[in-house]
Amino acid sequence: MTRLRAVWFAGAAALALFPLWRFFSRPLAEQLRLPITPVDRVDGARARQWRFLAESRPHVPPRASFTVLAADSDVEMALYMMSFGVLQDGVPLPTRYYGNPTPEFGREAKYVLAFDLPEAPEPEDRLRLIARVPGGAVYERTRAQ
Amino acid sequence: MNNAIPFLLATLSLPILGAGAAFHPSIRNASRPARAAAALAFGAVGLTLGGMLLTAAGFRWTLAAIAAVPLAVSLAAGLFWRRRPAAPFPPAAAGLGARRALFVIAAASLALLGWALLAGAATSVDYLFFWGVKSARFAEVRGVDVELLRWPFFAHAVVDYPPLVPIVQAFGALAADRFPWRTVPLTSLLWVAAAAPLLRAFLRRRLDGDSASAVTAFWIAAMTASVATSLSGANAEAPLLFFESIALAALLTEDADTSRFLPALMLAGAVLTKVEGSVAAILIVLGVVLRDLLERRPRLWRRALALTLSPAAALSAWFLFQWHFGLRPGFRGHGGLLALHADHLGTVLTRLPLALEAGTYGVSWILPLVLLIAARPRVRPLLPALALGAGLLAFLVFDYLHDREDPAIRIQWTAPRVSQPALSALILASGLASVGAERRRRHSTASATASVAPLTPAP
Repeated sequence: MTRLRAVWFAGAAALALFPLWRFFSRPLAEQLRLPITPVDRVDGARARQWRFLAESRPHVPPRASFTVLAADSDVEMALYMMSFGVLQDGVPLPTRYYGNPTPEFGREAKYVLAFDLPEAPEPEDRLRLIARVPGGAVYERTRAQ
Repeated sequence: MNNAIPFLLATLSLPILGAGAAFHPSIRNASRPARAAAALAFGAVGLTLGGMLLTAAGFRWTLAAIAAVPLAVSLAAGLFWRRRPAAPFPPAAAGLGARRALFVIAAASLALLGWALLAGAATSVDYLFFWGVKSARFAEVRGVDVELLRWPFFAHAVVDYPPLVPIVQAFGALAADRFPWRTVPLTSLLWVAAAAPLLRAFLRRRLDGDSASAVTAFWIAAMTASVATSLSGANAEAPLLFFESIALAALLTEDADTSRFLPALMLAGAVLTKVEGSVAAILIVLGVVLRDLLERRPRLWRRALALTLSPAAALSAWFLFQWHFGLRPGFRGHGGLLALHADHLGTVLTRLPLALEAGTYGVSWILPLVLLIAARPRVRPLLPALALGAGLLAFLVFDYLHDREDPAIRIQWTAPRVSQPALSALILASGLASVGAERRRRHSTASATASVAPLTPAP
């Protein structure tokens, strides 16, 4: 084998060590745990938000409209974007879009998915609690806004 | 898991949809894995065009209907091509040691990438925000979801991006009950793995079998590390890397009369995959034309046209689709073309190199760069790779200078991913130049002319 060929092979072997090192840098049991979301190990906050939406999904009927609410507008936007995928047969309506209020759309939603809010986002005579799920709650709007 | 297996089986059937490409005279004498990789490209491109066609014609996708279009085209093309005499292709032969080394390095690298993808350690939130969303929605409505792409409150989902990835992933999802979110990132592994046999086959045109294996092993190790740490799982980076790298390898190692069917197909795949694919296609074509011009290769413009027609037609198909459905045709930029914020130049020039760490503390870049410089190669034969590598990095600088706010975060977030084709180009150029230069020195009988000898075919 020529010298340069060996250099290329040695370089390739060295490169393969980097992911190997990353793999063994954590306990094996932890590494072999299957994730709940596709981003469990890279973005815990988004993974938690995804899980909230996934837990909410059984409580929203197919083709029903819904809106997502959160205290932080960035979190709300992230939840809104992810909701298209998790509730793929539902109709997401934004209450804010990139932080800009769009209540004329959000208030048309039949269901409200409230993430990390300490209390119901609207007066109780307008919302009916459907379920509490990890990370928040699912409400159904009881009358037109 | 119930959704995972049908999804994976459907995705793995893509080479069947494009099997005709394996019979093209330019590839028919290559190894079976290399021919399967060519069929994968043909299948994915055919599926994308077929998916758009069905939606435009008002037909809802079913697994059979969407597969029928590429399958019929592929079958007809395959029957036509198999009657034509096949071009010679160097045998993939390599020594046992090199074969074993390649196998061990490739298997370990791909296994680690597969673990990272499956474990939720190599996928960015872009997959949850729009890549996967579009795929899941396309599968749900059984077509390109035009209404959704038109809706202003879906603008976050880069609706102008070409549709290859969402259509290919939706095809897999049609076979499953629901979109298998945790399994889909594994498709990135398929694209990286599929590139290897074709890269090795093309490198073999200029290098001996052992050297081609060594450079291929380095490419796989570098790219798997990069794909994992740049969180490229399930998004468009892995297919883009596949299409662009193979196009480049084919063009770097071609002779003046080699068929350009495969590189043209690959560039068509690139432009259908991502906006950056069009940038790369333009850079590669420019590099090829410049090389051919300087080397006075015959039929230059005719061959350039042969290379350009397929990607131009593929991109036109997407723009036509957009226009047909009232979507704004074309791509959206990050502001006016020349609305640059020069005050960010310092940030861009300091942050961009830091973002090229590629999961290996930069070793993936440094080693081939050092070997390339040390080889003192002739520049002309390497122009297609240099155009892609340097041109893409220059384009990134240009793009980041459009940011009104500090681009540091965007560089940190996107540069590791979008710079991958430049790294691939560097590895291929360096591999061809450095190993080729050493071989020439060895074969030279103390002649001082060795360092300016051309990149010659392997003995």
